[in-house]
Amino acid sequence: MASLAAGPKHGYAITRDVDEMAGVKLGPGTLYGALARLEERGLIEAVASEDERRRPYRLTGVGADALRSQLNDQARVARIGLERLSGLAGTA
Amino acid sequence: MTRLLIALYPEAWRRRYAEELEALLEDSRPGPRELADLLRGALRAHLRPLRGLAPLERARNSVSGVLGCFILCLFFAGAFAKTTENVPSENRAHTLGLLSAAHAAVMLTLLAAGAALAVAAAPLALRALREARLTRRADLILLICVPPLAIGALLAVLGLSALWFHSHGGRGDVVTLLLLVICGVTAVVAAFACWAASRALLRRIELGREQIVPATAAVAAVALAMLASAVAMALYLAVMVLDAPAIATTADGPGGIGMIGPDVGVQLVAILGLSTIALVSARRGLSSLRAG
Repeated sequence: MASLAAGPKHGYAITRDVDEMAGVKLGPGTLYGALARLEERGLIEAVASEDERRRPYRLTGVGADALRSQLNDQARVARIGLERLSGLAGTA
Repeated sequence: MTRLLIALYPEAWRRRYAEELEALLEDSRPGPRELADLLRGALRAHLRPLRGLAPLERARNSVSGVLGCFILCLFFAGAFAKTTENVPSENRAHTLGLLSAAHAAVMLTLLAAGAALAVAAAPLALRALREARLTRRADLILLICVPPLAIGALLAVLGLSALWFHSHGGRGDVVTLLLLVICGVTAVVAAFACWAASRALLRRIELGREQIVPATAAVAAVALAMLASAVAMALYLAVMVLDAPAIATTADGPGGIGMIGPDVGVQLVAILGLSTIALVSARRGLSSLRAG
């Protein structure tokens, strides 16, 4: 979903973007399993395209809200974790 | 290879995503890791079907899924029967008859599963025959003929092989090995043909609730009988390991490369896994019918 925050992308573009962004190589089964679940929940949607075999996906409004909320939670956990680690380094 | 793997996905899933997935695979040139990922994805797609399918379509998928699990289960049951065929009877007496009772329970529960499957198939087969008779559609007639032809071919190959073994004493020569391979390949092809033809028939004939409801209930019984068979097999293995460890470590398989205990363990895990998938599939079919 974070990959689609930059704009609509088709399957291959998503795998390349996720590889560059997170260093994770998404397998085709994993990617389309995730796309199917996200589309089913209304978090992403397919965009009409001339090439029906390389249809791009984009975040829906609900999907953007869900992603924002998720990333905020992750950022909060990361911030607290880093603060605790720096406290641990001070006591060591 | 990739087309074959995509064909393993559920039909509703393929209708929606197969073309896009094919395009992705053309763009990315998949290796063994990606192909394994595709296989895992197909399994997950079966375990968690897309929502939005009509209840009757879900129930059809459920019947087709349990049928596939049962056919695979038969292979492992056949392997179990072959593995345990030479377990000495005096050792069975030593373990107070528990081994032979568990062995009989495995076979009886599988027979019960087969009988339940026949009950499930009967209304669907009758419907298919009726539709083929009324419409004279060549594709329906061909699909109806496939399972009896496949089973007939398998029985013919098995019969001829049995005759050969009987007349030549089942020596471990090249011809015997070749016949075993032919029997194995024929069994796999026949099983796949039966499953694929039944699945295609299920999708092509018009089915109402009066056919699908009893069929779904019967496949739930098939799944339960498969699970009971796995439980009986677990009992067999436990008795063998605890009470007759000498049998468990007896050599098994071509050239004695395996051992009876571990081999039965593998067969148990496979049948347990298949019965679990069948139960999940049957439960989905029943709940979709209740919801619909």
